[in-house]
Amino acid sequence: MKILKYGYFGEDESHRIFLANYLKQLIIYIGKLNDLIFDFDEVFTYKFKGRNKTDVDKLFTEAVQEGFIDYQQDVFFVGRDLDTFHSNEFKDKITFMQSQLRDDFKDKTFLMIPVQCIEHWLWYMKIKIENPTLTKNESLESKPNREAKIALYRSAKVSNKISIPIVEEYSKLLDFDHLLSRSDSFRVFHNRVKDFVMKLE
Amino acid sequence: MLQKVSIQNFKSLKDVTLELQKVNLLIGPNNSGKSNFLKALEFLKLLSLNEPTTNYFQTITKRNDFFCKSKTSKMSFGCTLTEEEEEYNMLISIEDGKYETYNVDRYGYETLLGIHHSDVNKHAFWSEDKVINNPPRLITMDGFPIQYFFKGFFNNLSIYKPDPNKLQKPFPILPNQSIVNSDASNLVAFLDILQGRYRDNFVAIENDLNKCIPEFSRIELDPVEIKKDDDLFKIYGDKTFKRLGLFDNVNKITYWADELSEGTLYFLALLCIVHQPNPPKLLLLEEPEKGIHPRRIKEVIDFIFQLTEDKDIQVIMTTHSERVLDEFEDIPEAIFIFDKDEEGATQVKNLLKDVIEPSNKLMEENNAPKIKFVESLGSHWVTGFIGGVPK
Repeated sequence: MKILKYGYFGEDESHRIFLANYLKQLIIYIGKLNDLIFDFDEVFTYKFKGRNKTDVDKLFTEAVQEGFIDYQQDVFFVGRDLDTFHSNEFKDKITFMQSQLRDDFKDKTFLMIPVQCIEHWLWYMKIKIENPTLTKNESLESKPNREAKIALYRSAKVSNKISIPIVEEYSKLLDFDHLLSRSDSFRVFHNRVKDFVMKLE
Repeated sequence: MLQKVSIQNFKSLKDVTLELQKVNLLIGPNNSGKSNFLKALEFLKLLSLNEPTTNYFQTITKRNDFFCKSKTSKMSFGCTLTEEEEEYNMLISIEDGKYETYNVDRYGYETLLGIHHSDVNKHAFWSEDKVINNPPRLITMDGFPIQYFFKGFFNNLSIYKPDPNKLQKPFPILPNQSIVNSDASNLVAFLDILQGRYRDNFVAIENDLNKCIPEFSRIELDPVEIKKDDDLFKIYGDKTFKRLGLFDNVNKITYWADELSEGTLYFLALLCIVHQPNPPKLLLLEEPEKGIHPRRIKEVIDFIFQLTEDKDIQVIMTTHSERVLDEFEDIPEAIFIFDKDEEGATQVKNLLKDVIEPSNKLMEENNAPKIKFVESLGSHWVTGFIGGVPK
């Protein structure tokens, strides 16, 4: 059994919760349940919080460095909403952020950057759960953040008391194939993590 | 200048030592011990200034002032004061119903200066009119007893936490109000005295106010009639009451205190504290940014630095503002980070010595670039890089 200690630096709790549930389900999805555990570095993550996009952009390379050097983590995740729909901006953002990382950190650092916001990934799951037989492939990521949040939380701005249980609920029920077939940004993130994990001995 | 303070077993301060600068900033989550550190300095002032009576002694050594999980009932305070080239050390220890004051010389040799006992008849303490057991009279370079030096330094020491709500009501013109109360509640009487007797200080306050809030050019103090059934009359009796106002030079109108923002009143209180006729040598400020617009915070901090230069005042202040922290990026040695450990004891780290330098060393060993803590210091604090954040 291999244990991967992971650190996270990102803008809010929704990303962190999504990530934790995603990693638990990933090892089942790829058939490594008995071979691998992702161990969340609580001390690091409860101390280091990205707070907003500006801080994440400004400080993520240093957070990655702290995670690997000072906290001896095996992998690191950075979470940030893109807040735009344009696919070029998504690709540019990923490329630019990757280029800022030190070479020996690049392979083990994963950028979780939903096009628009994390609520869009969860919105796909909500629709799937509420309409299990639905086959229509509607792109939600062209819709504004506000609409995704209202669809998920019934309001554009809610407290953590309301949002966190909803994020927990939908991120625990990820349908990987459904999400991969609909969200390019999720596919980019997932494929990188999957490729890394599959190469582990 | 207060160079070094060492405190053991006072409230949450189980064992902390701070090597202080001219201006010092204490940061950390709520309830991490920042205010306790300021209270410890106030306590030190009481120990330095007062001839203790039995009641006084019982008050200051009441059980809840000790660190609650401590196995010992000994509380101690050490401080180092410097003046020009000279250094003076004092150690006060409180244990078993008595407290002892020592001078510690540069070689660490301790000389007992006095013993205060809960039973006043057992005092052995040097003072002007009382010499018991002939303890040695240590003197400063100027020939004064060393206690005078400490008394002089701690004189007028107070933790200032101005409360703008208390400035909104009229206040009686009472005598002896040339010292601003810790909550600045006596500002009207204080300004009235300044206007009559310390004109230069009054004008300096008006000038600084106008510099930072240009629309206000003048301080107004206006007599008001207080009815006999008013609470103020019941508290203070038949006195002359005045209200505070600021003259708006643009609109040619006076805004009275109950019409002014809390931020404006807070800033005025801050100006009054620093322009007192006999300002303290050490100024303790809790959250000087409170109620101040983010763009004015820079001016407030700049003003505090100017104060230390012009009036030779040392400042220790607490903050919860990352903007205040940003103003300290050139002096990380002046920032102290407060956190509590699992036992509930306050742990204090100096940003330069305990955070930046060890991190630089670690990164160098790993061929990694240094963490740029002082570039956007506020962001590095709030995102957790330097500690002092709530969980």
